[in-house]
Amino acid sequence: MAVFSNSRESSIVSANTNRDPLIECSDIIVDFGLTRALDRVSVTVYPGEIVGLVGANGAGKSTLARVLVGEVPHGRYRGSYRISGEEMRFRDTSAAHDRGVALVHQEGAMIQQLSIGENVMLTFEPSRYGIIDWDRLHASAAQALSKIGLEADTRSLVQDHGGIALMEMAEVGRAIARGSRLFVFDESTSALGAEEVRSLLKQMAALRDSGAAIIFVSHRLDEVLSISSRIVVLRDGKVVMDAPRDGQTHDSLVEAMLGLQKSRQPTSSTRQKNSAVGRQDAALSLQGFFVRRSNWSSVSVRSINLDVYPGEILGLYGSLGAGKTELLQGIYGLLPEVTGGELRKNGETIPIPDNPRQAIGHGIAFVSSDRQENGVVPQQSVLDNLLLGRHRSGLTRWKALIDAEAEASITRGLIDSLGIKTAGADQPISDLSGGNQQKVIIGRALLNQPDVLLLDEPTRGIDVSAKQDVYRLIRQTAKDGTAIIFSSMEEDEIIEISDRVVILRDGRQVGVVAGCEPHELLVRAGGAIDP
Amino acid sequence: MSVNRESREDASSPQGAWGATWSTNNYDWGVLAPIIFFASLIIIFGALEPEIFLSRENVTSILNNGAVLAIMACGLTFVLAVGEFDLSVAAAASFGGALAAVLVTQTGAPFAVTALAVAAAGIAIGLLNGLLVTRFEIPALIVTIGVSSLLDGMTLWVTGNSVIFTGFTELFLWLGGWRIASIQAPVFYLVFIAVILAIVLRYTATGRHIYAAGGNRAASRMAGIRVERQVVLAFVVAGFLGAIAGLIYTARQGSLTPLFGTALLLPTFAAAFLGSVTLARRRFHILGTVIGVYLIETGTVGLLILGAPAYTQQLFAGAVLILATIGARYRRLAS
Repeated sequence: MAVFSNSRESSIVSANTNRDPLIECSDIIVDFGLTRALDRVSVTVYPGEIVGLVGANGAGKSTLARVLVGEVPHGRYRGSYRISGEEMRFRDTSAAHDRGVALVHQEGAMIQQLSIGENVMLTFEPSRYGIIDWDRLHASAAQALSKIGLEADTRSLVQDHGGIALMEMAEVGRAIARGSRLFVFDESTSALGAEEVRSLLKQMAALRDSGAAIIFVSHRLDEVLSISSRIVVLRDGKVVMDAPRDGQTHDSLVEAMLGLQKSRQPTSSTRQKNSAVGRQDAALSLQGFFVRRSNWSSVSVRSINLDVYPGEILGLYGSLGAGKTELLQGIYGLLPEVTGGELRKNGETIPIPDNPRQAIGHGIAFVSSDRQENGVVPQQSVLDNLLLGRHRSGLTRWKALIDAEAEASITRGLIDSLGIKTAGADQPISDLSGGNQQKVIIGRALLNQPDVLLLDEPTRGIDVSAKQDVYRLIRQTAKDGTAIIFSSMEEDEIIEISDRVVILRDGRQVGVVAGCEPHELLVRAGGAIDP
Repeated sequence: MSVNRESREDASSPQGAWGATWSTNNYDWGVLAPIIFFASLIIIFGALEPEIFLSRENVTSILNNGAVLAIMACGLTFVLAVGEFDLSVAAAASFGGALAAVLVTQTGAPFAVTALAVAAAGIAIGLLNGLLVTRFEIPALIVTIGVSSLLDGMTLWVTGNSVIFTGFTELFLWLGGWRIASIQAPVFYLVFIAVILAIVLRYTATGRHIYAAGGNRAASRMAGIRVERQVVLAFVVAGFLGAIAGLIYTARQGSLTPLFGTALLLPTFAAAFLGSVTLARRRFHILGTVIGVYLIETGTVGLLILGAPAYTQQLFAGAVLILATIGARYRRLAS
């Protein structure tokens, strides 16, 4: 072990004096089906620099990161990927790991019940005759962590600290101890509070100063600007900018990310102003509504005031970690202990629901962004999934036995009207495509004929044609008089579908706009370290 | 060709409702594997020992012997369907039997009082399990191991750890021993119970909610289902039927050996798991469980008739449990 840490020491020192590039990617092409995710992307990274990697959603940032860390294995991409001049052919992430490439996960991957030191040194614990040498283990861990300026009691348990920032940094420490040279931070700050972001950025700087190369993938332009020495902008799978940080501004980055779209006329958002807005009571009204942080991976939402009217589609825009999900979950009664403020339905104050059942009772429906976790019952049929939770009302005969005919006819009707592509009502839902599964889940929410429909990123992970179906469905539902809150982090989509847009940033409501351009949304929602 | 198609549709239509099939041209023959296995057991044993195995006495004795086990397994099916686990169902049977025996032989309580006491005990066991699992969020495995031990202790306490074989009332023994055409009372009790449970699980909202909670708890809660209530209910059904099965067993035997239930635990689980891949794709259901019980019973008896030693029962049930679980996993991956 001692030998090991010495060799790591020397490799970093030599890297510092050596200005040969560490990573050279040239003409990388990745196709996912018919979609070209990366189109002849070339990126070079030198030791001792932080390269910011930005782009709108779907621009290819994550795909590039996944190629670098071996998640998209050799063979799935075309082009050349060299580390220190040598061609890499990673089969998987552990092969990349062995060659000194480390991915820092969004939420850190630590074992809560082990100490920080044990986590850092996991799988290569120093030992003597098979017995772990604890002193050396903790010394090595502490040394690795000191590289990023992190002083922590390595003998204390991870779970006693909490906080994603620590988890992420312990993960970095682990990578350092294993001799990693390239660190890919993928949206590492998105789930952090302002204080944690500051310390994480400081630690990234310390890591850079020790000679490591860093790629920082982020939505938050201010953070990227504050720490990067060079910034690469991707758009539609192509590198559209690769420039030193100096001379770049928030606006210049947004412009590069969106290309000519900036001058594009705002589309449908200025169309019909919803007639109901302001003329009658809001279907749902939030006054000083808040959701406190409930666990280490959630965001706190502060003082939200918004109204959504019958027939209106209210967009809820914000980047990852802006608090969209927490806000909607709070309204739906999923976070009763930490939710507060005033909730009014059609002008009357209602208690904040304690559970989804009460929310449904108030005429509120919710579609979660996590379809697999909170949506489908995978083993069950389309019919069972559509009618989930509905069987007590109107579907039974003699108040007990399920009316199979009524069930089947409701299901047939929904399959037709929602355009669900399925072999039949009996087909297991897991056989359906993601888009069709989503239609089933939305259909389930609509069955209760809600006054208010909360949709959390309803188009996430579904294909283009299914997206169009979902938009059509949502517009139709609004036309029928339902008030809809539609959350998304895709600016084009939210502008397309919403009558008005509420912008969230770091859990705060930073504006309500009616009819605006993608550019404005991005600028206003782009997270600042602290405004 | 057209004949072939027709026969497929024929075969699939009665099964479709069990969730095994979803379209006529995609019939899942795998759900018939346990049935085919069952049939081949009968054919093999019947061919090797036709005189004994196919005799009327043997067939009815398999039916009679399996009934109590099947009642326990039906209760367990509810717990497995809701996605939990109940190891205390055997201890509940032991305790139910012991309580009945002690009340009848030592206190002279009328049968109605005895039956009510056993039923109440079973419900209490289920409530205890269910509330520990839902309120205190303790894994069901731990809870039911603990409750098992608790119940076994109480069984030994009330019986004084001795076999009870005298003092049963006529009525009590008759209720466990009446026959129609050499088919004994427990079989009729089983049919009555299984039909009700199958209807609840298949044709009522409660049944749907139990399956939903077993399939995806978070999604079910989101859809407004009171998930905890379904879990508690399933444990109550299992506890109740466990205790009642113990009562029926004691009445049928006319004697009580403390902790007799322990030997039934493994076959109960084996039957329910086998049932989950019978006529269904990994879905616990009552008909499957009952078929599973009788498959195990038939295999065991057949091997005994062929001269296999007594421990064959354990070997056979163990092998069935493992094979059924592998089958379920393989089928899930394949689908």
